Amino acid sequence: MQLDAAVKFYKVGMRYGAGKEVLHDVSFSLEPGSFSFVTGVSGAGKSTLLKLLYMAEQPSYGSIHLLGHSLVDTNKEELTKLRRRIGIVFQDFRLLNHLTAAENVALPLRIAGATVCQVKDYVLELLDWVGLSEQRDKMPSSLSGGQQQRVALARAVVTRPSLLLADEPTGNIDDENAKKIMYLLAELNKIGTTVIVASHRKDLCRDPNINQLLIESGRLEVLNKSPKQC
Amino acid sequence: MRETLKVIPLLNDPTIRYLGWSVTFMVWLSTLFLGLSMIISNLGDKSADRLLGKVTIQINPTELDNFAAFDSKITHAIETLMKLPGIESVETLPHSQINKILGRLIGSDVLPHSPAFPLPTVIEIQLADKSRFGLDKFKSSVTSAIPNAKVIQQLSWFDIQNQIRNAINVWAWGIMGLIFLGFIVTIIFATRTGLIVHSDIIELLYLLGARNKDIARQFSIHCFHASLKGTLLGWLLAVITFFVSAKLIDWETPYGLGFLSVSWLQWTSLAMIGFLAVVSSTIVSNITVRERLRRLA
Repeated sequence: MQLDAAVKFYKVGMRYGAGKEVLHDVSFSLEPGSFSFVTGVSGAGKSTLLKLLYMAEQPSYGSIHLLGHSLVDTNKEELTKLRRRIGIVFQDFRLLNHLTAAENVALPLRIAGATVCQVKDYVLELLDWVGLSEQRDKMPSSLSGGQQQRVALARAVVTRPSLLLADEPTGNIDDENAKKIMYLLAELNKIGTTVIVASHRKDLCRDPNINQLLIESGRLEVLNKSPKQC
Repeated sequence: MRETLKVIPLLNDPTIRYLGWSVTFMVWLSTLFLGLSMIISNLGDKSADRLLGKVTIQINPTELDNFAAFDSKITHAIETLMKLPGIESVETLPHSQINKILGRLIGSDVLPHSPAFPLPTVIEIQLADKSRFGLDKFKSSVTSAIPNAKVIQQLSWFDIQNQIRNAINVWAWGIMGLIFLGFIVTIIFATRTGLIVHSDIIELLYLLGARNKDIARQFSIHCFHASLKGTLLGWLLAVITFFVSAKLIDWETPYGLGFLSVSWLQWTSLAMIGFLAVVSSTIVSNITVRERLRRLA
């Protein structure tokens, strides 16, 4: 067993309630600092895989190791700490509409106990990085889809997570914004963040250094092993 | 110092938004009930104090008594009473007052202006120390020393009054208990509704690393503020209600204005209702959120 893997799935299966199995016997492992692309048609099980990774769901069977922790053996307090080491970009952005762009970005740090004053400069720096420094005081409803996705990305990386999960990050935006998002994700990966992107768009993943995982009917197949993969 | 995270828009949720008004109503009602119970207790105490401090003796003339003989009997009775231990003062009730009492009983028009026979005489005795006063011993001393004397035991009135007072107190506390129960149920209902209404935000906070206590704290802070505002308003309304009622019904009793007879200690007790409401709403909402999230997890 490779405990130093950033992510390790061993014979993981998942079904919702008494329904059909969404994931079946999924096993794979990813090295820290790797960039992985999970593709598959809609309904194949990509989002379920990510939900298991960000601990919104528990597997029906099998074991999952994240950043050196077995999710089965980890207590609640440690799970909370683990969640703070994971950045998530949701398909539907999940920004809080009553907070400004800057407040949304600052949210994970505020949850971790930082004060508004402590995070202000850093949040502005991040908004600048995603090209939204001008929009810092705007409400999400007044931003375009691409801008909202970039705010969501800034929020996901504000805690400098060890693992970044992006569920269809380009799903609701145009090509130009999709490229921007992919560029930002690649930049994050360069500084050592393990990145996993779930997308139905295979065209966004042409880099041979990126792990390509295909999910079809709940089964996972490794298409391309980058040198970084375990 | 850690800043409290306040990102759940609880003010947008109607159930929680109107929590303050529910608290106002409940605090107002509880304060009224407890206040009324206190006022009645105070009046009872004052009236009891009056009853316990005095003993009335009625001396009836016999068929053979003329005015002179009856007057000498009364004089003798007063002298005898003055010699008894524990008596502070002895006072004969004036004839005008006796006429008034008799007039009420037999009709003032029936009562002759100049009666041909002596009327019963009432003597009021002020006791020196009511607590050490033995009524039974006193009664036997009086009846043996003064023929035809009748000691009127006003304490029986005191017992009835005491029973009524206790019944009112039990009712007031019972109703207050029910109001408190309703209050707790309201807090739990509002909090659980809030959890459902804001479930998407709570799930997001959870995934971003918030702990149950971080989420619970947001609810309890909101409930604290809503209860504090509601309590202050409810208490103010109760005080206004007391004042207006006292004025409207001319609440003047033989022992003073009922409303004003509430002591500072009792005012503090009334204020404690509000304190209890604020503390319990804060704690109950916190526990409700934690318990609910623990089950969902």
